[in-house]
Amino acid sequence: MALILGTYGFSPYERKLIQEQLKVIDSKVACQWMYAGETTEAALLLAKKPCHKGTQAVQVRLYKPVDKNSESRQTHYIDAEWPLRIFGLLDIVQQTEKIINNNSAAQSGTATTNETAALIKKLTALKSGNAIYQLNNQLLAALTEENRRTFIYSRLPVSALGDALRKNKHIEIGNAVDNATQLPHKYPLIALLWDLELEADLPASDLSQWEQRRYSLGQWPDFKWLRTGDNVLRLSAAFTKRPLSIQEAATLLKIEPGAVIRFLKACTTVGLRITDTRIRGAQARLAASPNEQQGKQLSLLSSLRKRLKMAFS
Amino acid sequence: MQIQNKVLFIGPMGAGKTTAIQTLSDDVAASTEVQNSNKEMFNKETTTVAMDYGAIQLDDNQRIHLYGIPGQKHFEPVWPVVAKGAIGAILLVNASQPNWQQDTLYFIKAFDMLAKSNSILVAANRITDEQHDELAELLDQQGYCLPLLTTDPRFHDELVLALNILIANLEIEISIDD
Repeated sequence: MALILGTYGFSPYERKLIQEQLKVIDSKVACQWMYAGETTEAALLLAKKPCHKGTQAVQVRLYKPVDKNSESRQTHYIDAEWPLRIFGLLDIVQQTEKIINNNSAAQSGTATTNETAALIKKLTALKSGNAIYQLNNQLLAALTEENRRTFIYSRLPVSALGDALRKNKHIEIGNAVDNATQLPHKYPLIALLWDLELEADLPASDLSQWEQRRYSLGQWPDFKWLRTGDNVLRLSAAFTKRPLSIQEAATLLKIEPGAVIRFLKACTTVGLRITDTRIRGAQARLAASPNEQQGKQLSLLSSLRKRLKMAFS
Repeated sequence: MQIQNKVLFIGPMGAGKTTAIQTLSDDVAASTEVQNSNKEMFNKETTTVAMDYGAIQLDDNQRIHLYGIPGQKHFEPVWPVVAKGAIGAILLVNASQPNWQQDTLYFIKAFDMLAKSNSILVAANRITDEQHDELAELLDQQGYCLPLLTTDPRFHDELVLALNILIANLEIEISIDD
């Protein structure tokens, strides 16, 4: 499993030190850890925090949100001696891996990686006139075709239907009832597939399968139907601008490579045009650090985003 | 590098530019509406003759300026001047108007510099699902890879999504070193 380690509030020298230490402990940890520099979006975030004794604490945060509709995240704090020495970092990384493993085990009630993949495959094959039933014969969704597009009618909005399907391991496909089109929620099948792909866990083998090539998107996702989010918008902008490898996109957006793969898989599933080429040349040139003007521009954009979120949410 | 602190609202007469700016603007948007003398082109009472202006006030005393260009084509010489320093442009398309497809392409070509960096977003209103698919196909055929939204210019949420896409686009533009 590939995971991202980030820092917050570290000086350039301290960042370099963390990067070097991470290389040294690489053979002693179970996961493949990548350092993303200063960011707040990482599986393991090291943040300097003043303590009452004048020392520093390190905050360890799990990236996966507890509830996708809220900003809440599972957060664990671990105090560590400052300056952080190599064995201290090793200890934190190993503890984080343990927390992540426990968290995965605790979620055994939901579909596994393979089950989600099988569910997506099953749903992709659905046709107009089909319906999805739960074990107790309760109708979850019915499908119709309108304007060459397959639509779902359901009692549930798209994200809730996705959750219900992931949790119900025994769904039955049958014929739609006559009054199915009277169900309150209507959206295309691709909206459901998009949601499932973005939420799916990735098998470790996926990373190696995707990492040898650069990808570009020939179309923007259709946000009339497809769920957005900061990462989805920025990933769409990045891949429509130029071909990027998984690692380049992850570094550019300071997110986990897994999130990039999930996005590209979702794009493929909903039928967006993706072209890929084998990586030949050097790494795509990403601006190392913004100059003063670029910094001001990014800060302005960040203020605008914050303002839009606050005022219009 | 000039700080890009404005968003343009472009499109033909009657596309909804003035409404979009009024929806997003913090203050009462300045408008230069006069009696429409060209009702054959689009049957509405008033039209913009100079420029619509509004602003979004940010925390740190900065402002994002919202400019609506006059949609009539005889104002074309002023468009590049207004486009300087733009984060991007929201191209409003009213699909109930005749020739809406040609108008869409006309405005994309007129703001070619923004289109090349994918900084134009097409926000269509009064559009059916079939027309939406037709528009997506048209842009694709012309080689434009631009975001396309169905947007009612009276609704905040839909315009906010449009702005967030332009923000994401410029952030990536800055971060990729060409």
